[in-house]
Amino acid sequence: MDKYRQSIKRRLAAMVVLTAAAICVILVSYIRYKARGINGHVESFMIGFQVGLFSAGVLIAIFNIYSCIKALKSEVECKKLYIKENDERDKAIKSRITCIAFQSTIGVLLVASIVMGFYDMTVFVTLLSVLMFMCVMMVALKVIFYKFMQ
Amino acid sequence: MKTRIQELRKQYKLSQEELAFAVGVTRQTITSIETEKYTASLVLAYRISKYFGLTIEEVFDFSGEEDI
Repeated sequence: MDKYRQSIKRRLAAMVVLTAAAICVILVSYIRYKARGINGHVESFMIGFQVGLFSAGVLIAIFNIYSCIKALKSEVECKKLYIKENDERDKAIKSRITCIAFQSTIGVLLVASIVMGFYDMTVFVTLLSVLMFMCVMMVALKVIFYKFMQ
Repeated sequence: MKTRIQELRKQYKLSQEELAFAVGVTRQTITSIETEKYTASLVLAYRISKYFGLTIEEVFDFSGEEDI
């Protein structure tokens, strides 16, 4: 549990830094666009997306910081957090979900790229590029894991 | 996989929550093992058996797993 405690302390420090950085990004983007003005719906959507993404990140980070501080204060809370993060059934479920999601995405992309091949060249090439990237990544990860688990 | 976890818990008057906390998993994992929806890993099987002071074979029923 001591090792885990150390990892919580490191994580806490990293999260504080990242939260501060995210708040800076939100402020900079707000000040920048306030000074320059927003041109049209697309730019407005982009700003909204960026600010929303970083705001959600800050909220999640604050929640995690609170959990880490709580865990560092008490041994029982520390074990509870350890169990929550390292439960083997949870890990098995997440691993299976990721595997199925990855394989289904490859399947959907393959079908979509075949269909889009009849309509739009740009979309076809984009979909095919993503498909190729995912396949390369899958093969690379397979090689790494087979070597790692020898 | 069939197990004697529920029986042993009742014998020792333990709740799922208490056993889960002692062996380092969530209550849901103990529930899933008891209802045969999830098979415990070797490490977890060892921890549970050790907690009750028994061997893995005494807690987990491997009779259906012997044939390949």
